[in-house]
Amino acid sequence: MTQTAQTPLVVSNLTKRFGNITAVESLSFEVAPNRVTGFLGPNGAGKTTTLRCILGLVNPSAGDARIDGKSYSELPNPTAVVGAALEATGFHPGRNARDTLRIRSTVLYGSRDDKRITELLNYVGLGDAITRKVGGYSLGMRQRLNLAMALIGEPRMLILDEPGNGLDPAGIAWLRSFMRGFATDGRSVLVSSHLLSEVKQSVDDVVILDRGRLVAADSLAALLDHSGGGTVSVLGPELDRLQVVIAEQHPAATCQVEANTPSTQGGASANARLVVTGLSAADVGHLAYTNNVELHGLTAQDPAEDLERLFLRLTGNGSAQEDSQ
Amino acid sequence: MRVLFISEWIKTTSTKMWWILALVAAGFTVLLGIVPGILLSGLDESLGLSDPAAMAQLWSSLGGALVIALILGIVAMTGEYRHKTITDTFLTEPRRLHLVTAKAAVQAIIGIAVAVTCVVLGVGAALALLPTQTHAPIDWALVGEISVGVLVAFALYAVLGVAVGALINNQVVAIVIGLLWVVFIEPIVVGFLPDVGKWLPGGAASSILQGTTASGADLLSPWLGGLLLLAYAAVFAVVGAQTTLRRDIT
Repeated sequence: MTQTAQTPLVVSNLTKRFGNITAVESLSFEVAPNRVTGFLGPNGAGKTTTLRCILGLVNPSAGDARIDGKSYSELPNPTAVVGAALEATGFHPGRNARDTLRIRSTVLYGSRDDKRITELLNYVGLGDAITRKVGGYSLGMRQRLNLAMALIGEPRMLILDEPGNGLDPAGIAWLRSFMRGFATDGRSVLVSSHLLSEVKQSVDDVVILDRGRLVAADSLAALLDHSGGGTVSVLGPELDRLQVVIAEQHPAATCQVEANTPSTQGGASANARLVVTGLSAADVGHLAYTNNVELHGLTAQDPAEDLERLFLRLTGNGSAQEDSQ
Repeated sequence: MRVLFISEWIKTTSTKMWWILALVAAGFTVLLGIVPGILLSGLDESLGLSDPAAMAQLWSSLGGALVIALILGIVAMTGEYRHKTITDTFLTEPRRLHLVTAKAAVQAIIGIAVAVTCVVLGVGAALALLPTQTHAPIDWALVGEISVGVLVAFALYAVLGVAVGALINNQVVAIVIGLLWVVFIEPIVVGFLPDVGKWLPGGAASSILQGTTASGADLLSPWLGGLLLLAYAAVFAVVGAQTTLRRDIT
């Protein structure tokens, strides 16, 4: 690890147009060593196009992407530096997994290195299917083979495009801990997903893309802070008064009354809840106590739920996007 | 370059396509060349194999499946697009021309393997059937010379096929254009404009296949023909590597 200090990937002003359609526009971001960077955005945001530009498969209309200061095609043995598992990568259906890996291991190591291939296929969970033709593989098995192809060169950076597609829950859990474990010793992971929930437990940094433009690039923690430091849900008979108190003492916080359950007994206020953004549960509890406001319930919402809201807000198409998934 | 060659070798030999094409080519040679060439000679005096020239004609049909070598090369290159393996291929080796060169070198050898299959099964079929007819003695020197020509022509056509595939990525389109050219367009040009025809790939291949047996036909020397085929392949490969293979792979 001689280059641990270097930023492994720098994308600068990357733009890609397909005819009149701008798929990616002036996109800049970096991937830091020892970090898992989530590359997020709804379907069609330009994630795959960006990844393919980074890997020299799509020619940028402007800007560039540098890996250790070089473009992908300038790297002497690129798959030993960057391992990529892209969506829509094909395998020859009549070729088995071992031969598929031999094609790359030969270029990397000058020999087939069957021992390494067997170990790797065992590691990704394809130990029973080493000599089976890939045509008979399930989608999940193809994802695993794709990952093995990315790993065969023992790269320092991984670029994974929607790696969870087709994996069962156990496979997704395995993938999460794998990515966490990989991003150490100066190595890094850039993983794309259209589902924040899929990667939120495993990413350190997030780069959020919407319609080809960058909408956020920050650490996950900073993004959560930025989103207002959490959301608190409050139940009680005096929500109106609490709302006034909060507005007086914490003008930055926002309050929203939401119908908690369909009102069957008339009294709307009894079934409503107050959602306070920008304050902790302790802050709200303290305010209620010092102002003699009666409370029946005080719950801090799951931070992940906040993040999901933030993601949908940033990418600007909340409900429509949820419906499509 | 050496490791890329081995990688491409594994790529081809780990699937069935090459030996399927070898069997098709051999079947073509035996069933449409040698067998009718011998059996029909018994029906018609003018086809009689007692004439050494007719025997030479029979042996030259050993190279009758040349177009299969072209398809072999086309399939090797365009199959990468068809099966979408081109993404992993260019991730492994981003230099397009290096890839095409390694692929062409491998397909030249596979082309020779296909040619050997055609020659061995073709000569075998001839030896089995010739005793049923009266025929001029077998000129083994000529058979050897033609066989070498078949091997070289198949190797060069496989290389040309890879280069055509580098220029035209769509497998079906590349094969259809290749077949139309070999079966239809080129024979017309050769027929009407022999001076132009001898400079086309088919004319160059004829010079290699017929060698010294060419009976008065105006052909290039086998060496010049071979170089000309390589030149066609080189131009297609370089242009393909700079244009078609540089296109976005989405």
